[in-house]
Amino acid sequence: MTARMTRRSLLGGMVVTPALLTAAFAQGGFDLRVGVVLPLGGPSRSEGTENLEEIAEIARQGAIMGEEEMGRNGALFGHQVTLLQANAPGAEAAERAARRMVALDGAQVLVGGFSEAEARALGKVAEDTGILFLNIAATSDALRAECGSQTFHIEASAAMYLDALAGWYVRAGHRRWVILHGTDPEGAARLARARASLSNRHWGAKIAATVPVEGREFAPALAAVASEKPDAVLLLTDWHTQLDFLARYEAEGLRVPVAAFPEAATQTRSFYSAAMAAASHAGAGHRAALWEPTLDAYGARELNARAAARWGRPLDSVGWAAFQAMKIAYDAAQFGGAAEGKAMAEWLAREGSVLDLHKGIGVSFRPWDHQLRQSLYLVDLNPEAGTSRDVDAVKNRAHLVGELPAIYMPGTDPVERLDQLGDITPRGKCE
Amino acid sequence: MLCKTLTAMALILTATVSSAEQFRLFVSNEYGANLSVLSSDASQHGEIEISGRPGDVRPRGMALSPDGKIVYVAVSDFLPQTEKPEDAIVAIDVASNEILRRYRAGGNPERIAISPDGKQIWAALEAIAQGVGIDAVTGEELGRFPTGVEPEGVDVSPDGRWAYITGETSHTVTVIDTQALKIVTHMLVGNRPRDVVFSPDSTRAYASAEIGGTISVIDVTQHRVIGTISLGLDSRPVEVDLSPDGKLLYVAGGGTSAVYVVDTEKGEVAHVIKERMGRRPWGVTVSPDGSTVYTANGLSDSVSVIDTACMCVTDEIAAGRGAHSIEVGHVD
Repeated sequence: MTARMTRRSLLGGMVVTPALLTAAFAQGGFDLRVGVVLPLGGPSRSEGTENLEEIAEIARQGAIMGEEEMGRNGALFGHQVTLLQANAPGAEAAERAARRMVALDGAQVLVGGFSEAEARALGKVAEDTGILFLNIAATSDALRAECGSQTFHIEASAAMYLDALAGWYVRAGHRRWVILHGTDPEGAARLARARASLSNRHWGAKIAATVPVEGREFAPALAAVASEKPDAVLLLTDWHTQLDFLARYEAEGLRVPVAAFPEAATQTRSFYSAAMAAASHAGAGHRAALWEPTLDAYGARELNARAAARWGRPLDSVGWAAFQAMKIAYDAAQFGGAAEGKAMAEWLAREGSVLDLHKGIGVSFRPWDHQLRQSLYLVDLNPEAGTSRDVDAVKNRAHLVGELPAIYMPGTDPVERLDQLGDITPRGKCE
Repeated sequence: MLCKTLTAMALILTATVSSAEQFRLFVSNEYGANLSVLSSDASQHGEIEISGRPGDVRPRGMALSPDGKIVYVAVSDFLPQTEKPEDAIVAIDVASNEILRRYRAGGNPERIAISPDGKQIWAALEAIAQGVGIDAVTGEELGRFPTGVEPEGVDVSPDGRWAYITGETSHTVTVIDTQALKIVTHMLVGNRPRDVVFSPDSTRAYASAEIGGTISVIDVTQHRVIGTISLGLDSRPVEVDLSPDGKLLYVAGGGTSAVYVVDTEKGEVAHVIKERMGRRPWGVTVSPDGSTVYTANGLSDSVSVIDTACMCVTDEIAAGRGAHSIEVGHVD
């Protein structure tokens, strides 16, 4: 049962919720209410970096599918799962919507976080009200370092993505790098963490130059790549700037491979298509991803097939994250003993709590910074895929070529294996 | 056309496998759309084609009739949301390797079990979160029952009273009364339960949990989990089978290329067999006399042969692509 958030439904919800709760608990079940906060926007939304409508819609679909499947599972035990939706672009709107969901509609879990600011705002609501917040799209390491007791990060951290990219590219022989980065605090943080990935973790990698990218002024960056002749370019800007840069880069005739930062908006089949349209060569390389619709093992095949059949499109990363947010919330309520924020958070933060998120290995949140330990994927974009909107053709725009950490490593500790990526913050920092 | 092809293949196999043999191994090959048929001494082998669309049609779970003379194979495809004619349960005569009949199963049957009287077929319908009972004689559907999402493992108790079906994403075992044809209850077990097997006396059942790395011990008289045996977080147990006396539980550790042997009386792991094991053992079955255990190895496309006297791998036999499950059929 999906609930659309309108004033009328909110008021209605105030009346019916206690009755529903009574009925649910009379059967021994819980009533799990999850609010997803989405930057869907409206007709007057901007067309630039701030426009996250596409991934918001993908997340909405993933959350609905999660509600349906967890509802089916919950029905076995008399549990009820309800998804609440709010359209709230931007941090301030997201916070207001979240507070309404908690106060008026009884949400025990918030799902969202399409930017660092939105994730921080939703995390604050969670801390203030004692509910759970599941971050599905914000990569900022600063968020992890804030150690919110009620916040858990399904999205991989920037550090994890950068470690994975460095691992793949350096091992493939790309040692000299030019790094291009945004000039905002998040851009600076990505640059600092990229330095750490390349300098500290990968012996032999060298950073030839780092160049800030201001707005759409790409000339200094292009000049640096042309003069330094690196093995690879690391592009750390936002998704929209990535597309513009790739088009200019290709027009300049530069051929050095570009490894781009995989923020959520870049991990969609639509973005892959746009990147290849903007730059048929540079836009068609390898990318890191949280999830991949061509992943074919561990139950991933079945999940991908269900999603494709449900929505007529492959399951992109943020859709996977939203789906799994529903599953994580459900499991936390079931095994934590109650659909209650503190109990769910305590269960998720426990060392022994293991989750199955269709990645073929038991995953868990780090107890100290609440980052989900997990494998990431390397995908190869396919310039031959064409423009058909048929679901198989869309899926064919990329395919899986790598997994890091590799999970098939018998004899090694699975937690240590997954902790190869990202910052293993000293526990004391968060405890 | 398909039946003719299968019959022709069966004739070839009948000619190539010795008539003196007592047992015959059947291996479902998920990516080859066929079965490998091996003589019990592994000296001869052949194939039964299930479909001419390898890579699209996937034979997976198998079960034997009580007399061991019919092997049933769950067949589905890689389009789990759409029921195709090939989504079926195929019955094969062990002695002749001929296809006896095909049962319509519904959405993507993954694993199956046969009642001890041979009259009921139970299947986990992976795509639609249901279990189904089928009359093995008439082919009629006895009933469909909601399970957790992604149901997989299924077994029928030796006393014929219960069908247990695991639900992977719900961490459940669904209990169905096979006579009253109704759901009795759902139990929470370990994380991502893949398979379940009853003890010979029908008092216990054991459910493997791939992500949890556990075996849930179920008291069948109460349909209640009474114990959990840890195989290790990264053991990734999938298919399970018991020794004929029920004292040893053999667990295929798919993701770890190992077989775990559990002492069911002590409730602890007695052996871990890794040396010479094929890659990704998914299916496991015990010979009727308990002296040999066979695994179907999905990444090495092979069967590992384990001598239970030494609890060691003594041989590896080539199978088809993506070996999934294995059963020992009775020729005589």
